[in-house]
Amino acid sequence: MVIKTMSKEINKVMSVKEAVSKFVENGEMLVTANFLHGIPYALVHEIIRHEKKNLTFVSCSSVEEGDLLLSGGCLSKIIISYYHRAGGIRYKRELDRVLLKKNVEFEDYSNFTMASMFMAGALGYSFMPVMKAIKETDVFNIRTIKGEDKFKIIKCPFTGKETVVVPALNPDIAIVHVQRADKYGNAQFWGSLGTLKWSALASKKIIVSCEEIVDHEIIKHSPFLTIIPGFRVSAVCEEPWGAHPSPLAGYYNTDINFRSLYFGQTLSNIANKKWIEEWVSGRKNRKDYLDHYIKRFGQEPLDILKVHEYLSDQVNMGYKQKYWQDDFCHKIAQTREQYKEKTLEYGELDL
Amino acid sequence: MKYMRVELLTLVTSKEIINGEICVIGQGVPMVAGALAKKTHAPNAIILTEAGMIDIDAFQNLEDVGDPGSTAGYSYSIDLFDVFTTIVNRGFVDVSILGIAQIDKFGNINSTVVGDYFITSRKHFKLSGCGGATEFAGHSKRVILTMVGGKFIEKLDYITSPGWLTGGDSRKKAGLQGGPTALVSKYGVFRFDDDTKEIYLDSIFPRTTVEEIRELVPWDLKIAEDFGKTLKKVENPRIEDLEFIREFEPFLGIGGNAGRILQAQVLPGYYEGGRTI
Repeated sequence: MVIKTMSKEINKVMSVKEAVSKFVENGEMLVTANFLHGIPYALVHEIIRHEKKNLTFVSCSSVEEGDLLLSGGCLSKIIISYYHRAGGIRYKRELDRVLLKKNVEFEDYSNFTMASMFMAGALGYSFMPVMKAIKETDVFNIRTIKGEDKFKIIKCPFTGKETVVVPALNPDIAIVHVQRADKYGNAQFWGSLGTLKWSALASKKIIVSCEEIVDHEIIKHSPFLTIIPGFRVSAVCEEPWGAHPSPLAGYYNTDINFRSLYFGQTLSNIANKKWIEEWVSGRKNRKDYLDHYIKRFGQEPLDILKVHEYLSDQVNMGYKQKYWQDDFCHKIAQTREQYKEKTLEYGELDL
Repeated sequence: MKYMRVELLTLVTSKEIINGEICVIGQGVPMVAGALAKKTHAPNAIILTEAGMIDIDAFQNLEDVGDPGSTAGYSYSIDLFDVFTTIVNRGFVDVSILGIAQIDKFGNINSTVVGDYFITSRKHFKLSGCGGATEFAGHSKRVILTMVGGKFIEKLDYITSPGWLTGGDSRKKAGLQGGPTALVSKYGVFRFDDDTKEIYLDSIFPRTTVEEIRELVPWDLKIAEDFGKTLKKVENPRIEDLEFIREFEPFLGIGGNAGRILQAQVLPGYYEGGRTI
């Protein structure tokens, strides 16, 4: 599928439902670009509601999103560097159940080597050198999905030293949650940056969900906050609380109680199915999810998550004054009229 | 006043950080140790996490290494790749503090799997995996390990992060700088011999005996006396340190007992029945 994301004429603003049905295909490689911070749960839930199948899940970290996608039956492969396990080995998780049944293939990397694969993919290179430590571990030795191509050792052409390299990784689709974006897809993100930028830019398609869609003018005032440029983005979805129960700088903190609840409620196969029905497949959209949360626990547990204000200072980006004011410029060089005459004199083409 | 062994563990770990050092903190107890050090004896330490928050001054518990809300601002905002390349790979990390699951005689760490990597039985478990630990353990000048629920293992099921490898100068030969210098457990502090790099018991916590610790270690554990040093005793913590640690509620982990009690209180009527297997 060819997507014309370069043109600003295309309307990219849509619901997550529309975005997922348009841009996520069965069998694709999916990356959740956020690293522990602002996990795109609104989009993850939508992918489960769409019952996508045979996805390869790649990421530097999975907190609960991996288990959710597994419970929805969406994944056939996982390539990851951190798959959070709460409560130690006493408790069975969805991952344990699928690994025992051999329903899914699993490959381990470290955060840095994983990020390096995204970096190479994003930069348009075919490989990237990584630090030596990995060679001394079983991450290097034991290989599953990537096999021979998990790591290779080359000789540095300049120093002659042995160098471990990883191949570039270009996922088909990145799902991302950020604080704000404009209708063109220019996405602004702040707080702990993790691997968002490189894993998103490495991908072929990017879906952005955000707390607020803001005016293009607001984006232009702080371009240093833009982490993904609009021309790379396929869809923009406004989803307040779109990363709940993970935190989002400037908006809300981790809902640790809800996460504990998820942990306690999903230890068995049956209980896990119930949870998915209650919080994911049984909910129409993010608004329905929030309404359900409020109905269940009240408004208060949600309000307490909102962050204290700690404002960034405004800086003056500045732009030029009009330079060619005759009364000023002629003192230095020429008047504007003289400049025009010169261009006529030296011009090579006729009107 | 009663206190938990884990609280003393946190305090002892924080003392390993020297003022002015560049210090990486991992998930859990290391975060509290870092914050405590900065509040007490190491105000100029630069605490950073792999998620790219450099020079944080945490005044609340970080839920994880990417939690942006536990500090009111920080000096330098970069991404994970920048942390590992411009700071770790260039050798600027003085000390990394990392929590561990399984450790062997030479400080090599397994945090990937218990049992067979290919999960051939119900007894085998995937753990969280590498995270940032592999490169932090392999490229920091010093590595301080904290062990809350972990185990000593003769032969690791999987090597996730390098310690002193096979002991002696094997790590140096592999081209890795520094290495683990201390392991703080709930019963005492362990260090590594200068030559053989084998772990030994350096000091013990109050109300703990050497025999008790020996029982937790599957090999013949060496103690300080074996290397001509004296086995030290760790003192009880001061009340103000304990109060500071408790403000962070570090043990409100998602899977911890305290966490589960809390969620049952805050989100009531929901917890029963969830754990039917």
